[in-house]
Amino acid sequence: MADIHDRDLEQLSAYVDGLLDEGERERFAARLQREPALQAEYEALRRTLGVLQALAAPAPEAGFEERARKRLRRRQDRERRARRVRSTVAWESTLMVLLLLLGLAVVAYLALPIMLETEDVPDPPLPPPPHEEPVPEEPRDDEGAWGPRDGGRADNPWVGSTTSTLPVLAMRRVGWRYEVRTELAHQDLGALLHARFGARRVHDEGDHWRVDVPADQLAEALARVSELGAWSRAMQEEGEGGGLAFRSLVLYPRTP
Amino acid sequence: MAADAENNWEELVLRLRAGEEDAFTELVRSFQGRVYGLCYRMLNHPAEAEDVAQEVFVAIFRYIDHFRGEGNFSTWVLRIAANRCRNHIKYLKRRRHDAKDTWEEITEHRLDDDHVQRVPRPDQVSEGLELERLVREGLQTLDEDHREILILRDMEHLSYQEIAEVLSLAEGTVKSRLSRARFALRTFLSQRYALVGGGDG
Repeated sequence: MADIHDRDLEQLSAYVDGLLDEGERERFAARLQREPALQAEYEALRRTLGVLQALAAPAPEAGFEERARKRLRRRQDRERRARRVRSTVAWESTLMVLLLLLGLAVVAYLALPIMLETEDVPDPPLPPPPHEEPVPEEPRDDEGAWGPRDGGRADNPWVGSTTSTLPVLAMRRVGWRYEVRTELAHQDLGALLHARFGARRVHDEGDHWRVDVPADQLAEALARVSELGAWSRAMQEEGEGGGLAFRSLVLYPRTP
Repeated sequence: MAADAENNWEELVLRLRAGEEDAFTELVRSFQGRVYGLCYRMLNHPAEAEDVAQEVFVAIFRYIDHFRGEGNFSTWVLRIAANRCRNHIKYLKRRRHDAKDTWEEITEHRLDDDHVQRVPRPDQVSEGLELERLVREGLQTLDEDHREILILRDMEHLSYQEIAEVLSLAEGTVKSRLSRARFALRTFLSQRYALVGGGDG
């Protein structure tokens, strides 16, 4: 085969198949006459093709058609089932998504106020003062001067200096004044307070009295109130209690 | 191929597109010889060949709309078969399938039934089977490109143009590839079968 090239093989193949035109065919036939190797290859190729064409055509086993039909039906059934499954899955997926969204919405609805409270927690409201009292109205002209109201500044020394030693029920700062709540009962108490501290009764506040006390005399004033309270209780126990009871005493600081 | 189907494939295609199961049966009946033959020669295994051939017909039925009617229907059918065979060979290679194990099975199988349509005289059976075995073995020595082109030309008797359409090749490529395939098979047979002989046989 050393003398036969691919080009020769192609021409030989085409020659065997009758694909060469008349001129090519004649030239190739002449070569076959001249070249023994090419002629041998030609003969071998012809015999090879003869062998191939002599072989029986393979045929499928009997029942091939029926088996093919069954396969087609199985495939179609499978596809129909797959379509149904896909459809079902699609609906279920949609339903699941909707339920999920609904659940998220509910959770968000419930959690949002908590989240907002968490993010911006206001200070807890201060407990109301045990005895919130209205700020005393402006002193009337017929009651005289009550001292300067700006005496109740935040740095007023009355705060905290008296509550630990005086038997008062409650004491608080209301605006520019200090209010001491105690229970006093004596018909002359108002006069005593007035004589000692210059206290004046506020008629439209019931048993409330206002005492204008210099800042440096607050402790003494409260001690006096305590004494009066003890004396008043003792008088009541002996059945000699007065008809005048004080529910609260308001001490107004007066700037020295 | 049945002559009526080859001549009336347009009607068959219309019926296939309509989903008629009878049309599927006619398709199988008309093309099973060529499709199975190609698959059998390519795969060298009857069971694999039947499996792939049936898949070819099912695929044709399912994807008949892909046939635009521009070419020959039988060529389109064989193109699908050739593609399926190539894919199946790749699949079998991946599975390290050893087709040579089936030689004895095939031989006995063909003796027992009508697998061989043309049966030689009893005194020729042995030689014919041996030759059949040699040819199949020789085909398996070819690479897939050469094997399929030789089967299509020298066993299925397609023209060069039809082969070019089936394999999506230029006719010049078909020509050169076919000559190399023939030479390779001739060389193989020359070394094993005295009748073929040849320059180096």
